[in-house]
Amino acid sequence: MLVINGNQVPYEEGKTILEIARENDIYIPTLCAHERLPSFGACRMCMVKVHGNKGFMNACTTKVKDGMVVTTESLEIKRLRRSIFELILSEHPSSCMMCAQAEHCDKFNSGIMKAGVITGCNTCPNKETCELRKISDALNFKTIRFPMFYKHLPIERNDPFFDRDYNLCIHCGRCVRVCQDVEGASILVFTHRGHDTKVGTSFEKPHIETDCKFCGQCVDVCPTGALSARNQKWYETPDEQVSTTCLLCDKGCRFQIDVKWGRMVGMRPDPEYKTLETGICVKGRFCLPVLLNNMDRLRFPRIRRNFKLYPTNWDEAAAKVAEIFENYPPSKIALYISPFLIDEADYLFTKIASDLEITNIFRSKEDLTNINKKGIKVLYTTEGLPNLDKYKSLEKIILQEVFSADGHDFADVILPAAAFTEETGTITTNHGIMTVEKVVKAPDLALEDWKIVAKIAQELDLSGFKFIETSEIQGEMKRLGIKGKTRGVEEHYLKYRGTAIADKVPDFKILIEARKERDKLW
Amino acid sequence: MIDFDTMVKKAKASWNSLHDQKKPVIFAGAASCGRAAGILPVIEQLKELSKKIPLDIIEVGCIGPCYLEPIIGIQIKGEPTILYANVQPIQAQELVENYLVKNDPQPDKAIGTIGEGKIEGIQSFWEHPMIKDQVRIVLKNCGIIDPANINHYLAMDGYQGLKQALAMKPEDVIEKVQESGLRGRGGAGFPTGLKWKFTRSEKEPEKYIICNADEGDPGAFMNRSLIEGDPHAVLEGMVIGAYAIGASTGYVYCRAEYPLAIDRFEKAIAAMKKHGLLGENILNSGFSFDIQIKKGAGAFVCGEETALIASIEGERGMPRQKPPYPSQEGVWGKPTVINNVETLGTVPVILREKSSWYTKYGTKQSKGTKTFSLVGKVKRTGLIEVPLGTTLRKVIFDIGGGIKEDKGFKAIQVGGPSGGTIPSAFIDETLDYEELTKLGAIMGSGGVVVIDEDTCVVDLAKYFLQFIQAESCGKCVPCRVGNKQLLDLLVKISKGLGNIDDFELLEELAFTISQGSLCGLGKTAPNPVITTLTYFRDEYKAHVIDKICPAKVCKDLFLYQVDAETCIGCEICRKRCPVGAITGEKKQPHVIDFEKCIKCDVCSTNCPAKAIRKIDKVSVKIVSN
Ligand SMILES: Cc1cc2nc3c(=O)[nH]c(=O)nc-3n(C[C@H](O)[C@H](O)[C@H](O)COP(=O)(O)O)c2cc1C
Ligand code: SF4
Ligand code: SF4
Ligand code: SF4
Ligand code: SF4
Ligand code: SF4
Ligand code: FES
Ligand code: FES
Repeated sequence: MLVINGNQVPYEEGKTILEIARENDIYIPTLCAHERLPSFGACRMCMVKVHGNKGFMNACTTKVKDGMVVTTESLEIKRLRRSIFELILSEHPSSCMMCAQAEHCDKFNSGIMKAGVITGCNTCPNKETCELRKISDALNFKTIRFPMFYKHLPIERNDPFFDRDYNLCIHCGRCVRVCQDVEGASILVFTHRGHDTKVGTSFEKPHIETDCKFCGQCVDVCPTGALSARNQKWYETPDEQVSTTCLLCDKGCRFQIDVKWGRMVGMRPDPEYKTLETGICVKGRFCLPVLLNNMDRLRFPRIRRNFKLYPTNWDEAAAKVAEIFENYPPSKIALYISPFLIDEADYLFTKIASDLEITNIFRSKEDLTNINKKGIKVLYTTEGLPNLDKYKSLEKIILQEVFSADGHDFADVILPAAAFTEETGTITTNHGIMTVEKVVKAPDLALEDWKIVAKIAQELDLSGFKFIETSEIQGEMKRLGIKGKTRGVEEHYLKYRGTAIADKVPDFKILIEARKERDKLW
Repeated sequence: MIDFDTMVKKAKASWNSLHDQKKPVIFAGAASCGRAAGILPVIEQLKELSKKIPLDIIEVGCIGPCYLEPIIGIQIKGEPTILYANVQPIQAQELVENYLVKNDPQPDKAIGTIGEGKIEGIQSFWEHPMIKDQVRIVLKNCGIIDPANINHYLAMDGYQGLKQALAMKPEDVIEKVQESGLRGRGGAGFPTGLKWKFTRSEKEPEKYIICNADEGDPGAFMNRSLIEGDPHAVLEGMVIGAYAIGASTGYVYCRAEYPLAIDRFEKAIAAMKKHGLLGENILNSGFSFDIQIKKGAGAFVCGEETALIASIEGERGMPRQKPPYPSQEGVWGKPTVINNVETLGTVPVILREKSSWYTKYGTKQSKGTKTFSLVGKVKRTGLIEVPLGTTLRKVIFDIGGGIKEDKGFKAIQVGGPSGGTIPSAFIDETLDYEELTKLGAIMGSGGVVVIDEDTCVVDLAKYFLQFIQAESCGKCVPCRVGNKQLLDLLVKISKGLGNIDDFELLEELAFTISQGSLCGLGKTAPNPVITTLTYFRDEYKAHVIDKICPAKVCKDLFLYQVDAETCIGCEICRKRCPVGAITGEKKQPHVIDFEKCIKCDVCSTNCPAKAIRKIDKVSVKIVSN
């Protein structure tokens, strides 16, 4: 039997008081506890009383036992928690929380003020997710009796991807634990002693000089604005959050993406998805929004006329492709299917190929040697390929891409594709079949790969391509017993389709340049 | 391997021959305290001398009265050893020459004799006022035997306890330790037998025992002295403990600042192995056990058991929340016993003697004896051992000889930096776990600092808190931030900037830190503040309300002034003042310029007429030009 606040509650042996309280909707303020991390017991916000024990016990490390009688709210507990919280705030730039004008300020001062130094919540990039503010509200906190102390630590902005302002750090140790226990990296550690204790790398090295993976897990678990991803600051509450699967490699990491103004503004590992505990990579965590929000995206279909590529609409572009297909025998046509397509698009390509009796289906760069061998005249590729001008037999090139990648300048038709964050479907990963969710709209006329195939098929009067949703394609695949395959893209592959990620994401370039010498992975 | 009895017989013979030998023997107290006092040059001098006069020189540990060091003992055949105190190299040579050559024992210079027989005019050392009220059980061998010679230890009944234990069932060993009432000497006073029992009862077969030799309290040196004077006692206790709980590996966690202690341990471990007292199949009992030494970097918090375990595992010395206790999940996640040096050092005698022998010392709940380092403003400082339950009066006035310069006795601080300050009114209370807790102090590892009337309690609390907040591991909020705020408040008060609301804040902080902190360091950190605030509230009020430091210690609250009546105009102060703050003509009263004075105290200490006074700043209206 377990009693919390006078009520008998169901419990499971081996769980902590905090876990049981949460399961039963009993609020206990916490700052260092995090559901993905081993408990630490540092913030002392979760203090409760256990009947028969003299002092207070912290709920986040104390395991429940049969017969335990727990009190989570009392005057004495409140006094202790408030006092501890007051101590935390005495070393955190929290003036905005105490400010008498805070309500007005929040209402009329739209947007966070960008500032080099964070002096309060209204200059803090993480204001909206800040857990201190939530607790402050819950405790209805209004004053601090202790002198305020600003640590005057240098703000660390000399690394790619994320900034660190340890003047905001409350020493909850989440970043230290996630780095050590989840990422297995141990880059972040506690340094110094006593009141000078701080979190950081050993010897205060920049992260780029350590073995930091820039997985961003530390940023994601930080309850304050101490750690912030540089490219996703200042956007306040997102309009929407959508979870999807990263397609940049076969690992199949799930992300939750913040959407604002129709663009991806930030992302973090999907908290609902446990397989992430094997670690996530910098490409997914930090590069995606910068990569895919990029201005260099292909936005309009183009057709070559008089040696120049002119923008056009989809009907004309599809008709052009159809025309090319009709003008060449299938044996002289080849399809290059990029590993970065969702399973449904991949299937539709193989389907159209078989309908048109095209047998030259290439899936890797090595397959390209067949162009010369077989005297291929038409190449329809779904990713930019290098040195296409070297294949003398090629007469027509159709490029379906997200970016104006290699081969763009030799193409006869350009088909702008939606990125995987702009379409719905499934992909097969190391974790099995996972869903891809449409997070944002594709830019301008860019279209999902499978829709482009369907359009071309229509132009060719092929039947069996009239799909409205990918779920219908999935249904057909299931009926035919066709399964997606993992695509053989390993974690440290540097491209998305035909484009080097580093070309579009400057911070990533800094990283791989810096690590080239010593980090064999990249 | 020779059997134990033969080993002991040989050891006894070698010990006896040391006393029966023709060649005189010099015993030199060469523990760290003796070395700090300058015993090594004395030893050098005597080594030189030994080229002329045949002599054996033996380095022993600390015999207790540190204020008398360097101490040497001279033994000639058939006579008791004579101890001489405060010896310097030349003087030592004279002492030896006078005694050995001229046969003059110089009773006026001796402090006592050790051993059988009497020498005219010299009392037995055991009758020395600092020694006679002590009961030396753990310290029995310290200063007597050569700690580097296992034969000496064996001759003093060493390893008899282990032999007995190995003949018993482990459960019975634990039972016996429980019967003795032995409680942990490292601080919390947890019953040792019970701790062993818990650990033994854990299902996990792999178990460890750790000797906590971190001793981080500034000013405490009990453990160091014991290790340096009698390392085998501690190690024997450890082997017994290991046998009792079923551990096959032990760690000695010793701070790296104790090089001599580490050296003693290393030599002792090597000797034990050679004698079959450690390693495989100890004394043919089938029990195997090995000990590794781990050096700690010397952080105070690393003495806390979970931090110590983290440190042994190569992690940052940061405590973690208990439970699980080390007895459940200790080093490498395995059940582990952690015991203090003194606890383990007491175990052999408990196994060797009848249970009732040990329980005759101490109080109902605090059995046996405890060592204390007696320091501060007391006449006789040093390492003492008394039965638990001895009164403060006995310790301070009988053993310690009273307050230095016969000043007023104000308080004692017991239990190290996070102990409590007990005022003189409680002089007849006793030193034992229960009483100390009742008074707001803790046993800690047994540091006793005597405080006289010249000490300001605000300054004292500030000093301890300064140490504690710098030694906090920084993990939990109440300790890391709270202690800093508490310290800042004390600093503010000591500067005369406090206000009446600060009392509430002090109490609030003390509550939050003691109730909210994760480990013992934080939980006990406010003790000096709580106790001084309870017992010396008026002194705080003087600082806060009247802006006066009654003890004239807080520099911002007093001024130096020359008493014109007393000043003889010797000009000494004027010449010595480092900032030229003093003016005055020869034979005329001198004057101190308050604004220039940096309060270095030089004038005051050097004034032959004692004409320089400290006056409350508030009593003077400073007219600035
Ligand atoms: C901050 C702190 C410092 C400590 N330092 C020591 C120490 O130096 N030596 C020691 O034996 N115990 C020390 N302890 C106590 C240990 O945690 C532990 O209780 C003790 O070693 C257990 O041994 P015992 O049962 O023999 O006393 C310390 C505790 C705290 C909280
Ligand atoms: S982290 Fe940012 S939002 Fe949160 S309290 Fe600190 S300054 Fe305010
Ligand atoms: S980015 Fe990842 S590897 Fe780098 S410090 Fe943060 S958690 Fe550790
Ligand atoms: S940086 Fe953030 S996550 Fe890390 S300890 Fe500080 S507040 Fe916690
Ligand atoms: S009480 Fe102090 S020393 Fe102990 S865990 Fe907390 S911060 Fe560290
Ligand atoms: S206390 Fe020092 S500075 Fe002040 S007057 Fe005396 S000697 Fe000079
Ligand atoms: S949540 Fe329990 S101590 Fe931080
Ligand atoms: S000024 Fe305080 S919240 Fe705006």
